[in-house]
Amino acid sequence: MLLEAGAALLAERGVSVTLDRISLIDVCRRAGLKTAGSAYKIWPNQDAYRAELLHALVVSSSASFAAKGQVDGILGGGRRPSLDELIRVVAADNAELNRAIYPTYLVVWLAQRSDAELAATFADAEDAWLDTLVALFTAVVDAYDLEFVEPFDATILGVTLSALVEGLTIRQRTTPEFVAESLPLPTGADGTVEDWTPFAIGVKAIFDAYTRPRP
Amino acid sequence: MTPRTPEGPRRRPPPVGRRSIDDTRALLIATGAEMVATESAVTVGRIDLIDVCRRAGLTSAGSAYKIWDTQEDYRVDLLRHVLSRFIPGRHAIDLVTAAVAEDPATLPPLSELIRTATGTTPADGDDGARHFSVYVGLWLASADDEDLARELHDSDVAVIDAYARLYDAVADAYGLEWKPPFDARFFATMVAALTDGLTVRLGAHGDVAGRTLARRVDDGPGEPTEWSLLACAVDAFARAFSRPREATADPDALDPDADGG
Repeated sequence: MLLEAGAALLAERGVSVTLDRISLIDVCRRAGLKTAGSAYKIWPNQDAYRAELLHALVVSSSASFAAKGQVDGILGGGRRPSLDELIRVVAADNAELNRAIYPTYLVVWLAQRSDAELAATFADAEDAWLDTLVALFTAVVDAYDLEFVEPFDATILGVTLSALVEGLTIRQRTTPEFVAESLPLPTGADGTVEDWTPFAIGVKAIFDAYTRPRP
Repeated sequence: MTPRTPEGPRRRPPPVGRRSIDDTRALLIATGAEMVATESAVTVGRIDLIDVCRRAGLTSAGSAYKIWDTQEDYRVDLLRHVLSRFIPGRHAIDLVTAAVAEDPATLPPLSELIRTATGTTPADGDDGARHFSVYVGLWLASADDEDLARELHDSDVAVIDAYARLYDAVADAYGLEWKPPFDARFFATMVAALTDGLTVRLGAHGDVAGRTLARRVDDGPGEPTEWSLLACAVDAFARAFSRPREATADPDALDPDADGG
């Protein structure tokens, strides 16, 4: 509850409040608690609360976890779609989710650059995020009988595609006219046209270059 | 003897009382830009001209208000100045422009041009990372600041258009055309997005995002060469979004059978 209240406070005040000024008393008030006494039974001090809040923010602001769950569900289901279709659908959902949560991530990203303690928490969360991405792309490559073209691997693919969706999220706000919601490509059955988000188009281009059918 | 710099004689800052309007303007813009860079870019929306004057050593804001009618006017001027420093990849633009201006017979393989031109981005050293942090701060603040959002938009449009013209020139030089529905602006936007995103990744997973890979490509030198992650992805985009000009019979923008599915 107090982590959610902290996140809500941050989202409400946006970037006008820096993370190191988040007050546990404000958070408790926001959460409807009369005093901060119960909070201090959980966290010995404000810094400990802040560290856990930031960890929660970093983890929750990573769309990779949602993508992993979605891909696991699709691959574990009855009919396996073509790789194109998997990329088209999952990448579109991932870009949409990223758009909603990315500002929070960037607040943390900025803050940790000048805060060694926060940087350590951030690095742990990032490692967990990367592990998830590597597991995701390894599962996809295996499921579609692909292998990585040397010198690429699941880590390189994960970091590159994550960079792409992050950069497109930034560009989508500043120059939306250049980041179309979707573009029509003749990738459907019998060459029918399907809608592809720019991120999905980029994922396919990179997937095609970095992987190949397993001999 | 007056010490000289490569740009000419070094000028002492004029005494406060004799400072020209141009000098005052330059001083206050430079001071504001320094405050944005070193304090918190996210507070640029609330930057206070009186604070800037104080920081610049002026005893009052009177001379500032002879230049700008309002604080908002100052802020817009300051933002334009700060954003003008975010023209990324100057090295890349110069290198590519020089390459495509050469005799077509001496053009390097396209992959080699991509590899060398993107070699220094997005890392671009600590200075590049610091500038990008300021950009991120401005981007975050633009969510509830229309003036800032407009300035960021105009600045980014100018950058994308400049790169799109460059990529069109490259495509021409190499006898390529964009596969429909793609165009040079789409390509420029995708490359810019990757550059931004990899800079964020450098601040999170520098051990991966800052890595170079030894890679051999079809049209490159026989021996493996060092590729940045950005260069690898830009090479993939170039192959996916363009094609030789004569191959106009193929209407497919992306090959639907490329994955066998």
